[in-house]
Amino acid sequence: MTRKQLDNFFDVLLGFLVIVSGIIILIGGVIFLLHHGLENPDYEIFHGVPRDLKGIEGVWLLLQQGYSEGIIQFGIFLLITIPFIRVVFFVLFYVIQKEYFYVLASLLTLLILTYSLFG
Amino acid sequence: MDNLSFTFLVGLGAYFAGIIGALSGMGGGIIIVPLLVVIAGVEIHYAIGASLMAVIATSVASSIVYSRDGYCSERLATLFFTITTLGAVIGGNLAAVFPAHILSFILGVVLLITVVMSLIPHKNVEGVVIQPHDLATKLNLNGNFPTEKGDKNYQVHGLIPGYLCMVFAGLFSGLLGIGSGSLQVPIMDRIMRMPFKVAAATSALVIGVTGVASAGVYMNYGYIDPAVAMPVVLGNLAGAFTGSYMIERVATVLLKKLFLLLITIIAFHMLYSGIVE
Repeated sequence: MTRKQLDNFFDVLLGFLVIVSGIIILIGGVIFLLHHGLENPDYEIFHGVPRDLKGIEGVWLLLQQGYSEGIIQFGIFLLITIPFIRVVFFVLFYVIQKEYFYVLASLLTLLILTYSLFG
Repeated sequence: MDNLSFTFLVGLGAYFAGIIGALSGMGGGIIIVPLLVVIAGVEIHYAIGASLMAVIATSVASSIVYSRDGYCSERLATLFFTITTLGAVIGGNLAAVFPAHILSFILGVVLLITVVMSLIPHKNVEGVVIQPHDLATKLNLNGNFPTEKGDKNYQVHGLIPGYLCMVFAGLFSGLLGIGSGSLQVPIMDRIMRMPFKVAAATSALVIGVTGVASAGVYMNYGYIDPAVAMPVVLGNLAGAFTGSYMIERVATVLLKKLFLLLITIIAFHMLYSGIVE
């Protein structure tokens, strides 16, 4: 596989993931409005999103319980993983090209991102 | 206001923000946050959480388009990731500590800087090619970008100051839920003397990855409320697509000037509410 083919493959993959996450957010949004459309929430005061919705374990928990907010959060989480996946791809790309300085740079980036997401 | 009305209002606003962002090249985040805070009355932490999600979405979409054109400098982007993500994690944690009115004020300042920078005309659109910078050459950062006359060479200058300045792009991204493209592009095309299109394409990539670093912090602090983020992400994406469709077809110069005026007004409002609070 040439570099160009690899690039195209990843562009298609990432583009597909954007569309999928958009659709999931949309579906979650529609269900959310069907259930909660006429409720009056208050976004003017910061409550901190309830414990369940925080962090990545929260997303999974909500999804399992079938809450529409969980579906939206899952779509959002999928969106967030896309640039992460791109950096993983960069690591592979630089390893193949034997550009070890950039392997290091992209690995460091992954470290920081992982710490931020899961720390 | 019930959820239905809120979703509709915010979705529409985010849609226009997406159009403005695409046409002015200034990105949606700096419009979405004030829009949410001032018009929809959303608390600023929920606003920056929602805004950041939209920023990531549009960054991913636009970097896919840019990558096909061949303008992006992936190596430079990779280098920048290391410092912008760090800045973003710091910024995100600061956002947890700063009171809302301080965030408003800082956003106002950033907005004004953005407006000023976009009023200064670009000179060397195709980059400056003089003596190649040793470090940049060693790191394989000089490259080519396509023009009508075929591929043209460009060089990366001011690597170290440029790299260090990038921490601010990350910091503001984490602090305010914006992309900071309006900071990144001037760093690249003025300090680092790169061609404008290469700077723009590279920044699209950096914005997305930087956004993930902030997003992690936001998710763990609970800033991302799905009911707020949903209309913002969907509306903004739709607007960004509309805006990029319009670029070729609509007289954008006048629109750009109107947008700059709008953003200036918003900036002063944010500064005012930041001080008066």
